[in-house]
Amino acid sequence: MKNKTTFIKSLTLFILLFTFTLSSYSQSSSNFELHREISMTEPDSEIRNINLSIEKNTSNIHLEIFSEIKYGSLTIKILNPKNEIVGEFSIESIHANSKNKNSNNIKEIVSGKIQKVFNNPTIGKWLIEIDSDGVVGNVKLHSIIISNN
Amino acid sequence: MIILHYYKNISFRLFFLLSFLSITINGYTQNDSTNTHGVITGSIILDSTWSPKVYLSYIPSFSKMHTMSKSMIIAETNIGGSGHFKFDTDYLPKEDNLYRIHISKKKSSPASLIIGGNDENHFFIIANSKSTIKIINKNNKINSVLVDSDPQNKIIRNIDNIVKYIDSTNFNESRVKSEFVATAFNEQLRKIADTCSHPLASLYALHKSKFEMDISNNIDFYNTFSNKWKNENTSYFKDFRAKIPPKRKINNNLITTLILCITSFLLGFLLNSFFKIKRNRKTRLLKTLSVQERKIFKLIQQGESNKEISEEYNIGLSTVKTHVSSIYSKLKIKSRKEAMNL
Repeated sequence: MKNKTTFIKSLTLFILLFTFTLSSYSQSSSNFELHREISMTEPDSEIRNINLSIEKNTSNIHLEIFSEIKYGSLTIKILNPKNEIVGEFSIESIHANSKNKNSNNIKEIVSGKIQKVFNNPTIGKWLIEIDSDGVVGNVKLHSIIISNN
Repeated sequence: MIILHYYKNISFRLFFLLSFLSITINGYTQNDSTNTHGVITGSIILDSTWSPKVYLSYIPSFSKMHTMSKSMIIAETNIGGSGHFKFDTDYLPKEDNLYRIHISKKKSSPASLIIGGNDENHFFIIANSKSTIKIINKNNKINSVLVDSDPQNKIIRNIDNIVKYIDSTNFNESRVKSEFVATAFNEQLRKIADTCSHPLASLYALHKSKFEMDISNNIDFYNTFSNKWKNENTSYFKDFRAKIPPKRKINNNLITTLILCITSFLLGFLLNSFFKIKRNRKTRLLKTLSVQERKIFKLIQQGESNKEISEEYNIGLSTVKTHVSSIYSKLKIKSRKEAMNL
């Protein structure tokens, strides 16, 4: 009888400890991942903004933006909440004008990729500005926001 | 025998002369070739994911450093089995310009740019038609190469290393520390720009120091820098000068307004002083009148006759006349009209 009570007590303690450890571990950090893909099948001229809200406990932002174009020119800028450009690239196709295209003959592709990691990022709205001018191509965005809870 | 000796002597002299000429000409042509034929050489060992080609792109302005277009690629060359590559530079302009050397992944377009991360695929150099640049790669990453024998490009590599250090601090350290490091190293980059004797390399350092954010606080430094390189008329310097706000000239209208204000103030001051003196003189004269004379003077100013004054103060007409005469003499006037205007 005594052994049984001891066993139940030990089991209860173990379950409590396990639950506590698990919950504290799960609260230590959390990741928020965002995947966006923008395909521009017809010549596209637009400024698109993707907002990333960075809150108090954010420890890191990992950003990877890849773009591939066949026509036009594309500029991608990463702006922090102070409106400072913290990363940018542009890609331009020789065939800037897609009106005279003969798409079967043209095989030129221009690509750009930017990888950035921001440690202890400034709190506020981060902006990814995608400025296209007559673009036929695509943009892929992958961001991971790591927060300490 | 003598003839033979003579011929031998002649042929020896001819041989000596020809040999001398040959060596001199050869030396001259060799010298000439090293002076005019520039070359960019280097070696890099790449893994199988990369295409074995190196591309050279012309960067027309610092704002295009992170722009990729096939039209910017001016040359491509194969990477040999031992990792060696070579670009001739004799077709480049004789002035210094900024160029980018990049590689691309096997399944990517040759016109591909990767910024940041382990796969960063490019670096920048300054070159002209006579440049002899040797690129050394020790860790098989194209973005962390060294440059041998070219002082200008050694400076460029140092600048890039400072920028990389700022980026790595941003990744590894707290925000306060990374901001502190960025401020200190941007200052260091400005110092390099200030002391560097190569114009384009010095402008490169300034560009990497994010000078646009500092320009309003440090306008004198940028004006001095611009004056130092005032003979540089490349597109890089033109772009830079366009970003410096012109020194505020004192407006001519402002000077005119200021002179008018001072003149008006002086005129006002003088007029005020003049009227004050006049007023003081009148007050002084009036103070010389007796109490009775002042009462009579007041009535004279109101236009009353001697008779009316004598009736009002119940004094004799002759007394009034005596007072009026005294008033005239004290105030140095000759008629009632003057008394009224006083």
